[in-house]
Amino acid sequence: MPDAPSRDAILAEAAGLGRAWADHPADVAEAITAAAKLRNAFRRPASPAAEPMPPYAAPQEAGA
Amino acid sequence: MTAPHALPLATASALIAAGRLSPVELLTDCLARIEALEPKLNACIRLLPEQAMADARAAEAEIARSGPRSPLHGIPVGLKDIIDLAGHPTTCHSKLQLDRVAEQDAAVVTKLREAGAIFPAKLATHEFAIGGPAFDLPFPPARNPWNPAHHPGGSSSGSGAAVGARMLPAALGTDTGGSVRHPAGHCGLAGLKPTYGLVSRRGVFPLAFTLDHVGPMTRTVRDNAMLLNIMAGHDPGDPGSARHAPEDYTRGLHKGLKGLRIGFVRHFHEVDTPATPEVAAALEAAAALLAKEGAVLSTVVLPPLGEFAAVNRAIMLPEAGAVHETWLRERPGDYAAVTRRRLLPSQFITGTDYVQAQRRRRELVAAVEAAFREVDLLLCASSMDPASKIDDAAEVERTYPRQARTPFNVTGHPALNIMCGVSRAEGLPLGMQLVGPSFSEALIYRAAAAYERAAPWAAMAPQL
Repeated sequence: MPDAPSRDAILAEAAGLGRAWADHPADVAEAITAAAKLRNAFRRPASPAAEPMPPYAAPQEAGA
Repeated sequence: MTAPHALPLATASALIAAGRLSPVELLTDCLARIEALEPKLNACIRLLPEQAMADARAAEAEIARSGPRSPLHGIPVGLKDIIDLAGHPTTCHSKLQLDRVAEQDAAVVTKLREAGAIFPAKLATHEFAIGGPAFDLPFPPARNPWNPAHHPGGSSSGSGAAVGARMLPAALGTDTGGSVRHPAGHCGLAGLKPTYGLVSRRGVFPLAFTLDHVGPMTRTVRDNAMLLNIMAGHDPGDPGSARHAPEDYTRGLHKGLKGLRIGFVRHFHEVDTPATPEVAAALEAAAALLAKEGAVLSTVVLPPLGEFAAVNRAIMLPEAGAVHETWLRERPGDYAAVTRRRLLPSQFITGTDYVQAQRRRRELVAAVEAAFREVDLLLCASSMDPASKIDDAAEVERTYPRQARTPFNVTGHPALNIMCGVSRAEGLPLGMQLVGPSFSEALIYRAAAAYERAAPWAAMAPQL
């Protein structure tokens, strides 16, 4: 029975990075770690109503 | 008499207007300077001497006939090679873009061309404006004119090197996380990241749509303001373009600092990312000189630098990842190793993380806006270290993120790097930033020009 693929291999495959995983596995593994670290590097807004910036732009009426 | 290539833009412009210098003489001397120094500095990806000379001759004839169209008529301006120049490749310093010939000028190039500027060179960049100095690309990395063993900063590396070396009086760079101000800092230049949307990005290869800016890089503050006068303006073809009334950014340059309230963001370089003692001392000396010239200095506290940097990355990477997705999947080996390592995390940041960063961004903008209710301008560090040796990959990797420029890509406020010292050991320039409220470029230039007059740095040049 073949070895189960590693967590990084599964994540790379899911991201469409099969070729990068095959040719540059250390770079892909480093990228997965970096992305995970970034997740906790800034505070999330406390208010559920906090809007992103820039906001989605509303359409403008002609002549407005 | 000063050689034409060594003249600041404003002086060359005045001499051309007075009929004492021809655009052909100026370009000829700049091209000779490029030929002499390019083997040392690698600032240029592509030279365009024939077309530029034809344009210089046409400018000479037109100016003789009817005077200059603008202060930029007959002035050579270099273009970072992610900015489109019709009929020529925009390589982005990458194997992936070697053959992509631009069909049209970028909007900002159109404005400069209409003003009479001449384009003799496409300039080196970090690959796609995100890599670092790399030796595994089709073109070598640009080097620092003050000491070619060191990097010139980036990503607008060739723009910094070319203007710093007096190859060209001005160049355009782009700035998504500090890429105009970084090379400006390490090459002893004035480099402006304008207010988001003030200068069109149409025809400039994108890195991150909500963080990208195009900015002028020059030897003096006045030159910078003269270039921005032409570059700024609404572009309906750029969805992020601001509607801002045209203004003359040179108008307040003589006014001085008296009464201006400047908030010094000391914690950026004292606590958050401690600067080298030499950089810290240069910043303190600059603050003292600003105060001596009449500014009222105070200390301002903003959110931690690391949080601005993280938000910048959490926004920049997914936006860049959208642009590079296909190449990362199909041709990952065609990037420089450093570019690939910088771009790959983009494919693992979740949509939730991206939106959270954009939500936090609004709070960070509000924090900086609150500071501007108390002061007119902010003073802060640019880089925390002098430029490291270009072939010391570990030191490049360590020092590149040690900077205070990304906050103003996140917030969109205008920020200018100007020289504020020289490192004793390596003879390399040190830089600082003046930052203002949105659309306050004229005020920033006013303060920077006053500092430039009072400080000794403007008289210094690299010994090449």
